[in-house]
Amino acid sequence: MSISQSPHPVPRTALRDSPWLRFGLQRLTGLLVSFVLLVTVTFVIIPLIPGDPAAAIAGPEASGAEIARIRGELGLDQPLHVQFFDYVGGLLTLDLGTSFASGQDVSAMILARLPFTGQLALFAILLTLIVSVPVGMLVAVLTHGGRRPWLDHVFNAVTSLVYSVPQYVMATLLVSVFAVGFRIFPAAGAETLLSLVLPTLALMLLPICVVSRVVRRETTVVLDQDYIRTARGWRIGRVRMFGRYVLPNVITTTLTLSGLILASQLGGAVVIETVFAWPGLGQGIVDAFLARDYPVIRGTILVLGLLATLIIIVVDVILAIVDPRTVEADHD
Amino acid sequence: MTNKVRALGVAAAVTVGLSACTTGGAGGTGTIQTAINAAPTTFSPWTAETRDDYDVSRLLFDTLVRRGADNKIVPALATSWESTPTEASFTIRDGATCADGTPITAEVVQNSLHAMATAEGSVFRKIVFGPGRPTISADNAAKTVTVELAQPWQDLVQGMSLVATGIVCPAGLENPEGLRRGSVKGAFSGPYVLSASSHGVSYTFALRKGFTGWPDYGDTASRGKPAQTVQVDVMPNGSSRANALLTGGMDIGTISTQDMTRFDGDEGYTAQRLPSSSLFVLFNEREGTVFADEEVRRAVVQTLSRKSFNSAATAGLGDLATTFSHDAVPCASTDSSVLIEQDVEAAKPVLRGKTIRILGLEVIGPQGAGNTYIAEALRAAGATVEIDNVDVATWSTTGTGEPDAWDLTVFAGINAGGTMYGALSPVVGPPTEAGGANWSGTEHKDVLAMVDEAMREPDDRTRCGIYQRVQETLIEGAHVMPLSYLPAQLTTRSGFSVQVHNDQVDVATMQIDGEG
Repeated sequence: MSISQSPHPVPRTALRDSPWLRFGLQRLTGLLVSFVLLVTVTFVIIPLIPGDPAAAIAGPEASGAEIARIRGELGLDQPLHVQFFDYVGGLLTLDLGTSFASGQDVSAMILARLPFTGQLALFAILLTLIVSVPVGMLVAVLTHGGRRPWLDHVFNAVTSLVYSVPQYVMATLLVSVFAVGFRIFPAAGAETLLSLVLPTLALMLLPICVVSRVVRRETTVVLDQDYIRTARGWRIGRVRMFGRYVLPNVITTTLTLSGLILASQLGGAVVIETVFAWPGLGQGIVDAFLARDYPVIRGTILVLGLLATLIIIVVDVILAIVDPRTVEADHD
Repeated sequence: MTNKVRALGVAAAVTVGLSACTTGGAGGTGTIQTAINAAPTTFSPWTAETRDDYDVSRLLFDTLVRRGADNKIVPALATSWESTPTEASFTIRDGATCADGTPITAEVVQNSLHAMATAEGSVFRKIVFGPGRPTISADNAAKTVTVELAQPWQDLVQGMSLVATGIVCPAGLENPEGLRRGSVKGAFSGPYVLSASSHGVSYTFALRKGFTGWPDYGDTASRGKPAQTVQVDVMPNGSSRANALLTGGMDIGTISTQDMTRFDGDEGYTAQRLPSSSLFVLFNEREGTVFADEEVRRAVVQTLSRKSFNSAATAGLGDLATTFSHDAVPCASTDSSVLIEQDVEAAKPVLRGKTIRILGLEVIGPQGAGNTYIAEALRAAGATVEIDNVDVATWSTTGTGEPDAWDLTVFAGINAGGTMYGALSPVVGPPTEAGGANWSGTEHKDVLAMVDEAMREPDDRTRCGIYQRVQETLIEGAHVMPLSYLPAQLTTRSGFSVQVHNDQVDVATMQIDGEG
């Protein structure tokens, strides 16, 4: 038997030295390590939360015998390593187990809530970018070289003020004014597209402040660079100059920051989801913690953790495409 | 018109349009929107454990009888009944059917009750049937079902009003897992079927065509029509529910203490305050503990003020309690002269130098303010107090499983069975470490003997006299100290209604009234 050879074989060393391959392998390893850590840490840590799931399910008026029966039914009377191997065995077949509290399939429960959280986080991050990038760049241009100091002060004051308002206060204010007061938007639930407006607003205001300030600062730094001065000297049009020379240099930091914000918003919108009765994963995990519903807590943390890691990888890939120097930097 | 003015006009029109969409209410569409605190843990009535479970089961499953005003038993699936302390016979209504069209015969009822009586995990089995296993028989020709008890249990007929005895049709009995998940449409015997659900998010119930078996509550007759659809959203936060009610996003809902006053004086709503749980001091009386001594328990009771506790725990919105059960429970004592009077000076010498560990439930007032009041009152009387305010799961775990870790707790009794026996379970009978439900650790054989006597007594008046002695024994002996009732407010938008009897909401009677 002969093995046919490619007419243009890729030298082994060349493939091994490819920065893109190395980049991909590094990210894949990161994902795998994250998965193993998430599975192990959540499994070990969650039972340390005070409170027995069986007692939580049975309620305070249940008998000791009933609590013991439920504990056996949930498998909590098994040694921890047996429970762990059961859990990992399930994960290998994509089975996240069944909820202690409801007996429902955990994957189905997470899938029911994930679109709500994803919708909210994506809307919030997209609108954050749409608002904060132009605003940050505009303020940087208008105040560049010490011009319009008043605008600089107003911008700093407003972003600082909004940033310092805790999210639950912001959410409560929005509900009070726009839902209960003017009755423009629904106060709670996720029944119509309009229901998305207030939670999105509450979720995006803080990131807008952060991202717009970062964009403003990055733009100012770029505007001071020699190549921009040269570009100006060549009388390149403003749109071309900003689109070709300023934006790509600002976008690196912005995307990195936005990726982190999006990842944190997936699981971190607990307060917003509570105030607006938004049936997302944040609300779900709070309920699961209160009920000591271990499979739901573990499954949700695992899914959120993997999604957060994936988002960061996607951002890395985008950055690598926009600015291939990041791949080279990794390689070096 | 300038462009700016035109733009403002368009914006205003859009805003008004959106407002109309969001605040129009659902009455006109035949839908009632309501909410529950948490996802139902089961759709099987037998193993229902939370208030939310009871509510969804009440929509899906019919019971033989219901409890009407003043605890009077009224017909539902059974049109009549006869009972003795050891037996009850129910006549089943003609024409009743399951959601899949299967006729509800005496045999169907027999099979369902038998399954409930033998189901693992039914906390109501003993409340309904008492100790031992009942014998249930059916006579299809006479349309009667007879329940024979292992020993006298006067609560049997009342027990048949509990949603835990909801009749599960044959399709549900054949598929217990499907029954639990709510996926067997033919299992339902009640007015609604579960037509759609997204677990933990929302549940849609559709009215069964031709269902006529509404409970006969007598003079509180219906004024409107049952909803074609009941939309139930999961909303754990009470303030969110209040916001939804105020903005038309919900028609009927229960809200908690801090939001109740938002509806005061608003003619667009009917508000009814109901006790969600009865709060009482419960002592760990196990041997070797500080409260094994009656004198110390009495001193604690003498130190505390029910009124001050109520201010801290419910902002004064709850009613003061005269016993450890809801006052709507049959035979509940309303005699405040039984209570030990406050006498802080007499208590001080007894409490000085004593160390008391309070196991606090954080939902009793904001951040457990009710427990904090108790801690401060006892400190002021000279005791050394350690307090731990925890969530429900930790509280239940510690209270039932770690008797060495606490001395005193404010017990929040739900008593979903609504019977005096149910209210007694955390205080008398086998202790938790012996497999029972008694947190106090003292069995109180004298009280159990009186309960036994009450269960054999067919005359209501005499039975209540016995239960009065039971309550006096526990209150005067400083085994418990009644405090107050944690209130919840049933809030109904104009155009909607629901019936409440004995402080219990019957969600199956939710209706859209005339203008709704």
